Amino acid sequence: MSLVNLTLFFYVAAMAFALMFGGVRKTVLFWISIALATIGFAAQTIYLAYGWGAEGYPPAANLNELFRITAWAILALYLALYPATRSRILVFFLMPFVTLVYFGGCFIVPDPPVQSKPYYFTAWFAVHILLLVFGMAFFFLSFLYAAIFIMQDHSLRYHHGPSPLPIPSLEEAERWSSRLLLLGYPFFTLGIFSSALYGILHGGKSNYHPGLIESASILAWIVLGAAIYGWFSARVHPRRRAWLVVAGAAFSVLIILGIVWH
Amino acid sequence: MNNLVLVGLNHKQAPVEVRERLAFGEEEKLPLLAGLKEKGLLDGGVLLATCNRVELYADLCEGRSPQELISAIIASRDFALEQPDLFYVKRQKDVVAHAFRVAAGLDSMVLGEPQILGQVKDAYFLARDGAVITTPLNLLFQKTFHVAKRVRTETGIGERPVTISYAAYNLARSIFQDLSSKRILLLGAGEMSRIVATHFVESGVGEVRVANRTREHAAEFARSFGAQVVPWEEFPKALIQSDIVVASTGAPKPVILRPMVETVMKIRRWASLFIIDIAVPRDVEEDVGKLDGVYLYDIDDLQQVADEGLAERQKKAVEAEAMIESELDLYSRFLEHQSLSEVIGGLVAWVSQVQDDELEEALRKLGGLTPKQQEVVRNTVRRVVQKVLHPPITHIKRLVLEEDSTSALGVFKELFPSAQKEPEEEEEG
Repeated sequence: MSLVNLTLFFYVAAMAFALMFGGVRKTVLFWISIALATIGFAAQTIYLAYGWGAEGYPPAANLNELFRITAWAILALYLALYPATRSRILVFFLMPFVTLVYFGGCFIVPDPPVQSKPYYFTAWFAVHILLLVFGMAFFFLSFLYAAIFIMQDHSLRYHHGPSPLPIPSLEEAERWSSRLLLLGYPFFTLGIFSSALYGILHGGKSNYHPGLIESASILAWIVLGAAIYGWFSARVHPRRRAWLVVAGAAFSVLIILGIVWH
Repeated sequence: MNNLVLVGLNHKQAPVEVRERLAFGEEEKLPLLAGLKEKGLLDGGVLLATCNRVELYADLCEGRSPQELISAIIASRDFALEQPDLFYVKRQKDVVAHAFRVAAGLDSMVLGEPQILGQVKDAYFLARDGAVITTPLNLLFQKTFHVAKRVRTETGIGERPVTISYAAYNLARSIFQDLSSKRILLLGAGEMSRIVATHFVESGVGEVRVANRTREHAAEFARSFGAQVVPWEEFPKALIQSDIVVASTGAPKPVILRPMVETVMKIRRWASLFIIDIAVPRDVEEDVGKLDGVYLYDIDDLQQVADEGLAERQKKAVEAEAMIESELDLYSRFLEHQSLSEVIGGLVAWVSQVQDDELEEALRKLGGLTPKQQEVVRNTVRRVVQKVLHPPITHIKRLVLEEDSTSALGVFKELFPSAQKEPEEEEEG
């Protein structure tokens, strides 16, 4: 079994336990899910390191690889931040998404042959990919907390009673959504501008033609920037800030669609 | 589990006048159990005495009846109970089923309430530390704790609130991460306000402030909660620093108006404000609930949350009952297996003893046998005994373990009465 399939196997198993945890909420199921996800994550890390070493550039040069590395970055962040967030129920939402993205990277998205370009072998590409992918991973986790905030707020405003899932309180969801957004924004900013800068430096302004990827990136950057401004200035109600994060995440998805279109 | 009995009464049958006469203080429980043991009524017992029930789980001495226990309990409280039939008596498997249901909160006045498990544990530890516990009781309570924990975690029966005050507290937990850093403002110093506030104070809310039109009432109320008094005319200002507001003033018209809260929310920069309006007529204008960041619940809203919680708990109770039923089967089988092991062990020990005694006697009578010849005789007798014992032991194991035939074990015990061990009394210290 290849490392790619081995990773997929562990992610699917981790997802199954995460869903069971959401259903019956036995702590042991959460820890089994985390253990399986960690094994899958380790297998994928070895694969990525090996691929990078063998090819000479980060394995993110086509859409399949980009999907898989995005799933890897989201999981890396969740595992790294868990000691601080202590949010177990997040795994219920997160693992299906991670597995789906990884699965898409394995099978659904067509895998065009990689045509090596000189750009791939520069540090610009590695910096661009890693910053962008981690920026998106931060935004995804921020989006999850924002979505939880919106669900909780809606339920409380319209007197629907407590959520059947032990989701974080409004205050906690808002706090983590804002923190993650703030942490991810510099990554995303440097990620998109490093690529643009490389294009301008090596091709000149006349050679730079912004398409859907660039437009979606800039739109996501502006919307998420507005959410951060709202947080710092406290002039925007937390619910509207949460919606801005959701909108920013939607534009981030457009970036992926832009790559597909491209 | 042969001598396991339960005698008791609870809120369902016995009125509070009876329950309060039979209430046992912590310091009275162990002397009662020790006294009953000394009188030869029980070998061990666990006394569960809460405000809603008095139950004695007892490992009864041979030849004693549960009615004697009831009389002894009544006599210990020195009063004449006109209706001794208020007491219920349960035996063997029913005791186990009852213990499981009680510890899981299924027999409580507030369905699924969690405190009862702690009370059952306290009663067990008291008996264990006082050396009035026996192996059957020990096994029963260990299993009871396991079942109660399983019911709570797997059905989540205690999660939804069923009282207004708990509903308010639960909602506050959905809004705020940590109540210990939050401030609560009580408008009005009535009984309902006290009930709701008690829940928050017990859960460690950061700061409590009280505002009432009559300052003396507010001061008296504040003393009981260690709260600060806010002059009535300054309560709109106090709203700015408050996170939770409990309104129950008894005013004929709303005292918290939309423009007031709009201003407050702007100054608070839309930090969440949870307003609990338990006054009738209402103290808070309905439109206040439409403001961003304000979560307004009146008495009907809270009652609805509590009713939904109760309906949910009733659904969970059905799941819990099924779980208890299967755990009861497992426990019965466990006891049968244990009993089977004891019987077989006793039989093998008895036969070995008879075999060794008879062998030594025969070898003594024969005399002059060489050690090798003695060894041959010993081995032959042992093989014969093993071959004779093997079929009935295999058969009884199959009957009990595979075909679940409990009566077979009884017949086996009847056939080999000498094989049965004297009951051992293990006491945990």
